[in-house]
Amino acid sequence: MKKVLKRVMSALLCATMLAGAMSLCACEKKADAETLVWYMPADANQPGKDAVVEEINKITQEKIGVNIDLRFIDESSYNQRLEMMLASGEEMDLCFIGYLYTLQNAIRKEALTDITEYVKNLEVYDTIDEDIWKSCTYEGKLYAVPNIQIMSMGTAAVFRKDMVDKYGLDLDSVNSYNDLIPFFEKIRDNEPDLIPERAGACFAGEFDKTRTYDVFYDLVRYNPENDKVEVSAEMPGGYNRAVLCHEFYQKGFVRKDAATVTDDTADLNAGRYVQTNDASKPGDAEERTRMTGHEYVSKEVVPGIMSYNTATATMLGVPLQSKNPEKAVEFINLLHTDKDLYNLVVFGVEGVNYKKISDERVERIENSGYDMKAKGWKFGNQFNQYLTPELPDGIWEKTKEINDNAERSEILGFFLDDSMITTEISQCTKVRQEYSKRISAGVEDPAEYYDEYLDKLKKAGVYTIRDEVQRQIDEFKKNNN
Amino acid sequence: MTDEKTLLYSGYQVIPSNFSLEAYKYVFKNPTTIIDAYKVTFAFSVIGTALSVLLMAMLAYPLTKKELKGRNFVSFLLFFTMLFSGGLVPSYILITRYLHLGDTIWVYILPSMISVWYTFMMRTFFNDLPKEIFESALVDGAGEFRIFFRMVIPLSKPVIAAVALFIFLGKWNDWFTSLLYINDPKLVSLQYLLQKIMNDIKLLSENSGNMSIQKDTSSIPTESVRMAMAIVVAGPALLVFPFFQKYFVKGLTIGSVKG
Repeated sequence: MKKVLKRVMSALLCATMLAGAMSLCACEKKADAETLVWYMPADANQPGKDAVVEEINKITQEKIGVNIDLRFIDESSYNQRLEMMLASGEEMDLCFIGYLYTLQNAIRKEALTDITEYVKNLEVYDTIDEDIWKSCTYEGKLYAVPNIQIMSMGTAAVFRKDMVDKYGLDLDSVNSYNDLIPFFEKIRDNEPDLIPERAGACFAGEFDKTRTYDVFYDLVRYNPENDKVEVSAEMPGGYNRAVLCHEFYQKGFVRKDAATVTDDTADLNAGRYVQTNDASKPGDAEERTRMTGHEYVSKEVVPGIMSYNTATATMLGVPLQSKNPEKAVEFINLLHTDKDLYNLVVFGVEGVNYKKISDERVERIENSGYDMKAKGWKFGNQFNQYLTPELPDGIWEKTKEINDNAERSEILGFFLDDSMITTEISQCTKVRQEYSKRISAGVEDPAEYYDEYLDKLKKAGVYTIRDEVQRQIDEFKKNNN
Repeated sequence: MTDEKTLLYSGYQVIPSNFSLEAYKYVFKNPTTIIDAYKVTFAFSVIGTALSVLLMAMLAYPLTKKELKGRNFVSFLLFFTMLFSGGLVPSYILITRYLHLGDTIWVYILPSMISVWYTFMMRTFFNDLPKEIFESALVDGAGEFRIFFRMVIPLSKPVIAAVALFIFLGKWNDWFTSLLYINDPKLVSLQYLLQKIMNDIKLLSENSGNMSIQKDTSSIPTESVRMAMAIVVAGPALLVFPFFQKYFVKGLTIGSVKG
């Protein structure tokens, strides 16, 4: 018995060593210079991807003479993975930059190539608004190309349509959350299975305009009216919102256990909240309808503004290690201008991954092995995207109009260098996270704890952050006028 | 075992008021991901544990031999890596660019094969074995390998079982390796699938202040599915535990009592 075990063990050892050596050779497939490696955050489990990439290559080979190697990383791992790949100089020609890995971060780490020269000669440069370019430019240089999508998103309150109809709520006459009280009361009394409002989904006053101001780390905001940087929690909207949340809790409009529930996406997906918040844009209510299976209607409560945050939220960048930045930028250009290529990446192959219903409308085929979840805003020009069944006609024209007419932040193009205040930011963020939960749950009376909150913020150095941001903004304005 | 609606409206109950296997059906409806992850996790856990234990024992045993020259230096080298490690980025560069282990199953096994902590634990145990037995075996004509496999290992079952269990559980619960090194969805570990759900939720709530991103909550599984997945994933590790238990109690006290 022992002898057998020994033999098995040594055989196993030999086998593993051998297999190890073999697999080492197998993965030595160096991509040639004509292949661009493109990393995107999306569900990595897509068996049908290879067929789609093959189709993509047909187009790119013909137009710019390169192949694309599209690789997906799960969204939740994207930040850590990209950080590692950028730091280690792993082979990569294009990557998503934005809310998962901010442009600021990438620039500070000097991880991206300066692509100003390449971009300026291409068609994509003319299709994007001058102000958007301005907000992506750092010290006169471009490091990433923003995607075209909605560039000015406010906040919308979304309501379950069946409830709005049943209890006769006239959305047009609603000017503040106080106007909703009678509606919420009826739901509280008559619909025991539903919750009138998701905790914290309300603002005080006439839909608090201060929320449109440029915000830094959710701690300080730049107020364009008096040209001052202010602490968000000290603005009147901050305290008043806490009072309103408490009032709603006492009236029984939010769930009783909101203070302890850490994740309520299941309730959200089941449509258990009659009212919640969403980013405001054309098609927002329809999106929520798709997610929950209940019909929703929306009302914009905070108007949108084109700010630094929105313009840099979704971009494609060329990392420093790219051997062929010129071709990479040409490919970005193609994504923006070639409608067929763009929709191929979004929806996959026609007939395999989606069916075409009319010229502009498509329907996805379930479980076909390739699904970007119609998240066309992750790259290229979303205005070229085919419409899925839940999206209304003319949505892109409407979005374009909103973009063109959007109010622009006065400090568009400002980049905050936070290297001096990182300690304060992380300390204040901890304090904010601790209290924002208490505020939105509304269990306690803010009169009792709000001063304590402000006090802790001050001790954590929120004024240092405010003064530093103010100093940099003043400097920025001086240099730009 | 409860259906989603009951779970949402009345919370968890000891005896489910509304029995349903819907969530399990959902988990197994498209089982290729889970089955692949099972295969991978099982393979690297078993192979990894076997190799780890074997190599560590083979490393620890010579260190107990007084006649081995330079054993203090070797011990110091091992100990040194315990205090100072290369850090995440250098090891990432080493593993992906020089060893080319990225996207292979070997990345789960090879880099973490030797744990200095467990090696020292084994060394302590081997030290306590009576030297006289080995000497008599030597006199009887057994070589070092024979002594090692026929005497040392059978005598050290408690420590080997304990170390094997620790390593097995560690490997079974490994998700960070998948996160960093694995691109191929067929090669991710089971725990990564769970961790992904948790991270997705965290990502959503962290970005809730950022209104420029549209939040798609529909990709997050419902409460009941999450629980069903936790059971499916935890299962085998639960089965392994009693199997090791008889050695385990003794193994835990290894190194704690001297003299």
